[in-house]
Amino acid sequence: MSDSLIFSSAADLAALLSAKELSAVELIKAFLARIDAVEDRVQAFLHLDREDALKQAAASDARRSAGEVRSPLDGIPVAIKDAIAVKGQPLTAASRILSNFVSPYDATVTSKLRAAGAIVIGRLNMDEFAMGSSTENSSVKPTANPWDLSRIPGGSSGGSAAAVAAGESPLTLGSDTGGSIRQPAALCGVVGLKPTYGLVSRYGLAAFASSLDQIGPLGRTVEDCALLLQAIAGHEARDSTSLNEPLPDYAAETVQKPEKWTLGIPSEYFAEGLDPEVREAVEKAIQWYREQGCTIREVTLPHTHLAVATYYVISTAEASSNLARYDGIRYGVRAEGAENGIDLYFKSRGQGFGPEVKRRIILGTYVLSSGYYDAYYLRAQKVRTLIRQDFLNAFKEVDALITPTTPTVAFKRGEKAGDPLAMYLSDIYTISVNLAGLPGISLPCGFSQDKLPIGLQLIGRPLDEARLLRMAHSYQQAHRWSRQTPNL
Amino acid sequence: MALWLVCFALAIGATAFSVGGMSAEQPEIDIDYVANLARLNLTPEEKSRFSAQLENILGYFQKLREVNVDGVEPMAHAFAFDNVWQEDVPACGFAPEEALANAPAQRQQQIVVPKVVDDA
Amino acid sequence: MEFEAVIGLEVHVQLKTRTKMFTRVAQGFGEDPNTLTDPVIMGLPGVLPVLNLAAIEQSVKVGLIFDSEIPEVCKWDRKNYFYPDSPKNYQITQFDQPICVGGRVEVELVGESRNVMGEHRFVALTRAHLEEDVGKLTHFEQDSLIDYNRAGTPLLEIVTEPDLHTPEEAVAFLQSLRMHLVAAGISDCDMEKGQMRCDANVSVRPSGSSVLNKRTEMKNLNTISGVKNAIAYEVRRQTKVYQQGGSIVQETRRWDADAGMTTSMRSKEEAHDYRYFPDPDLMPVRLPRERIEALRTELPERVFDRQRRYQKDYDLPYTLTSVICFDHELAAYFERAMAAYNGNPKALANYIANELQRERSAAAGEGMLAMAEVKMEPEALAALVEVIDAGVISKQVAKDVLIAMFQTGKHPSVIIEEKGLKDDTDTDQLEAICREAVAGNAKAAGEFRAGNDKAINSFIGPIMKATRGKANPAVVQQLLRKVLAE
Repeated sequence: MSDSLIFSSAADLAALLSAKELSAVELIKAFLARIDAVEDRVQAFLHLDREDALKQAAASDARRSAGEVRSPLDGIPVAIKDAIAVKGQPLTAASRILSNFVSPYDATVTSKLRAAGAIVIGRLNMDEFAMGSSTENSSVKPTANPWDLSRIPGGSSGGSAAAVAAGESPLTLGSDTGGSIRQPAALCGVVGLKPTYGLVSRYGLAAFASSLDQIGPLGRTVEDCALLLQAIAGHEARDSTSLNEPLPDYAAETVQKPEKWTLGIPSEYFAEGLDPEVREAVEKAIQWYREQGCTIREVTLPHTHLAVATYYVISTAEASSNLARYDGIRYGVRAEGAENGIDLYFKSRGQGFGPEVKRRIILGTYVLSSGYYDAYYLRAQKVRTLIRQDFLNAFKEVDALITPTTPTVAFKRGEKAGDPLAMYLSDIYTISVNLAGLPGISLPCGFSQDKLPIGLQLIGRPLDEARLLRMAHSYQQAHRWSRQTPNL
Repeated sequence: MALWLVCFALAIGATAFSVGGMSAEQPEIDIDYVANLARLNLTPEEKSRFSAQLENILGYFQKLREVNVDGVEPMAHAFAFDNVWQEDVPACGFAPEEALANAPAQRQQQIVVPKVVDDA
Repeated sequence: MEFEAVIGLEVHVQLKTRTKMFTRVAQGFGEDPNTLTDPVIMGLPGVLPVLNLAAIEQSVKVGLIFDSEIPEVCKWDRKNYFYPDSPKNYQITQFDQPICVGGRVEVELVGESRNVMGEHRFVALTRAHLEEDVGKLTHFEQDSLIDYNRAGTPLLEIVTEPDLHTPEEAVAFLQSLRMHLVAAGISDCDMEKGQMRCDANVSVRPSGSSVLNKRTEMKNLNTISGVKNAIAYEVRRQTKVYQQGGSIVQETRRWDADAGMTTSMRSKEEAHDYRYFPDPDLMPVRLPRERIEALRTELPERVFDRQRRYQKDYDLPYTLTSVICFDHELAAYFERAMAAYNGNPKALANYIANELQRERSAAAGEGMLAMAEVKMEPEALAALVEVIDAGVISKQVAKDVLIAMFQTGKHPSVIIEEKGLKDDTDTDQLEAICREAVAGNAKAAGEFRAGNDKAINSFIGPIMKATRGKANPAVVQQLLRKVLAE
């Protein structure tokens, strides 16, 4: 019973709670037991307050008895990436410089989850300050891919994806700046959605790149992601970039009858460099859509080859400024033995940041510095306009784009650690979506010969999550990839 | 260009650079100046390792020069809208204990730092 | 060789909004440390800024007062630098598209004497932009303490062209700026509370030349006299350097008010690389013209426009306008009084500039009683002037009535009634008293009739005594002349 429970969808679990076949306390205990059983190998969690989780579950049961269920997520565990503020819980962003920081306030998404009655649990591992694609940049420990413990789960939301894949939590929240939800979702065989920029409030997300960051859901099914998106999306006054548009009922829209969509295949995403097994799985998925009556069109996104450079100029520039506040003065770890106030900065930051973070801060500082601003930052912002225009042009012809999520399956731990640029280039299919502010979802579409998950990405028009979810859901209903579970 | 070919080419480029440079456009980074601007202490090992890696990356950034951006507006925000503000009505703030809850050092309800020598 | 100074000022003004610039925690001064903060002020991980509409509107008003252009769109930038009083280690400001561009401030220089209006001129403004204030550092021997109460307070930075040439002009500029901003409710501009701060850029050049030599930037000018003295010192210092054949280093210098000199701030010699870039967390501001025009209707009359109007329409002399027009509360008081009775603006202005001010000063231990606490309403003062003009009481009596009005807040008619001060001497009676007085001083009568007009004053004393001071002097004069003419 326990095994099928931990691998059930949140929607199914909600039905069990609703039918009173299960209490929230029993449910959370099942997941806590699973975490105890597999965490030694998966290492998805940085922190877990079991007492608090049980307390929340008990409160949910009390609400249910009193007939005061708050939402379909009432009583469902949602684990949180350690970059999102939960009042009274640590917020480390997997960095040494925040290793002792306890958040005195709730992120907007946290408040919304509480309002929905969800059980907010744990702090999930990530690349330090969301900078990375493998979770190897965590200052604490690496997370393992549950499908092959010698491989990385992807990043930066590696803990979020691994926890779902390993059955440790049915739902998790991650953040996506250049693919950090979609890529780990693909590598771990789960569903991950990056919403349209501005759909979900960023208030309470430790910022990496302000114009690119978005919080999003990860889960076993597309429907689950829709449920979680419903709970966290919406305009919010404390985030000035928050969009003020009416929200559809995502969960209801997801299960609507599929249509005969027109899907675009960007030729640049199927060029050399794409692993043959990934290509094959994605092409099979495209064929399936064709068989459902969808029209498949080749489109071109001509500025794709500039996306990685554009992304790394803009994101490092913004990050260099966003991370300036981490200095050990008001909070965080303060270095010892500083000679004076200024020396304190150098020491605390020198000791508190890992190498990838330092590299990106230096890069970002450089591209903004006097004499280089026009050549790098300003130019990258212009190329960004061209990249977005590519997508908007494509969307005149098609409803959505269908691509691989990653060029390869999960690589081995340490394989790319020595070459930062090689690591950056593996984000090629996800990065442009953030630059253009579009929604993107990754869902499982197969396995490699080595039984490693392969992800399919759908990219939509701004605020077109409902259609994307429906497209993804229709595919997932017809395939059994998500029913497979890792051998832990 | 094939991704793995790119990686391969860059690896070659990096080696060539460290031997004496063959690519015309390898930018140099004054890492001391930039690390100072960013208030980051770097070990000598970090300095040399990062310099090489970053110059590699900056070389890759030169791609951005290949495209014509005349007349193209820079994209400062994902979506263009204006006038996002709030009325001037006070909301709840922190009690001093909350503000200083994570303070590494405090005295008289203020943050303590080692003596700061000059004004900004 | 003669040298002239070229001076530009950068004035930071704290706006009088209720909340801070980028978050809605209250702003304030003098509170216990770190009691005016929230997650945004402390720069915690994950926080985001939100614009304060009132700060934007007040800034537009400043632009309108000084004839600045309000560009169609303005935006927000990050100025990146590290300092313990700056919670995010970047300041949100406006770099290339500020809220106000250009403009000019009318200033009045000091006249030859206190009673003579000095020359007026306009000081050109470059721009004004909005930004956030930083926290406060207090230095001790071994360490420093940081209070973030002030951090995030809205600041409007007003920059002049290098259009000033003497320390006195700088003073005049600051005074005019303050008068206008206080009158419009934008800021109280109290330099002691840090509500107005001034940095000065100073260079010198041969008189008549149009070249701009290297300039120094002066900081720590905490009072208006500090601004004046610092500029004067720096001008002398630079002039001496040039006269001795030396050259000026472009640097920042600190004014030491006690020592009376500026000293180099060595660490500032390296130019800061602030790496300005547009703040991705804030959207641009694009105010519709109608909204700007609506703000214009909320502006008070400009100080010197009002001064000119009072001079032209009411024939008020400088001695009065310089008191009333330069204090917006007195001006408002005058306007209200005039609305009640406009038959004698000069008399009204006199009472306000002299009697009212004197009473306010006497009522307070130190300084002046606040206008808000003055019990005498402007309409009441107007009534007093009206009653004097109508001959109901003499000016002499009015002085006492006013003091009573100030102390009790009662209407003059009530006081006159209560104290029985009405000059109810009937004319016949008064004429009889006049005859008596004339009869009692034949010498003076003779002198008057011989042509010495001043001799009439000898009769006033006894007449006033006989009427217990209530007789209307104008009427007494009239009757005396009639009697003496017989």
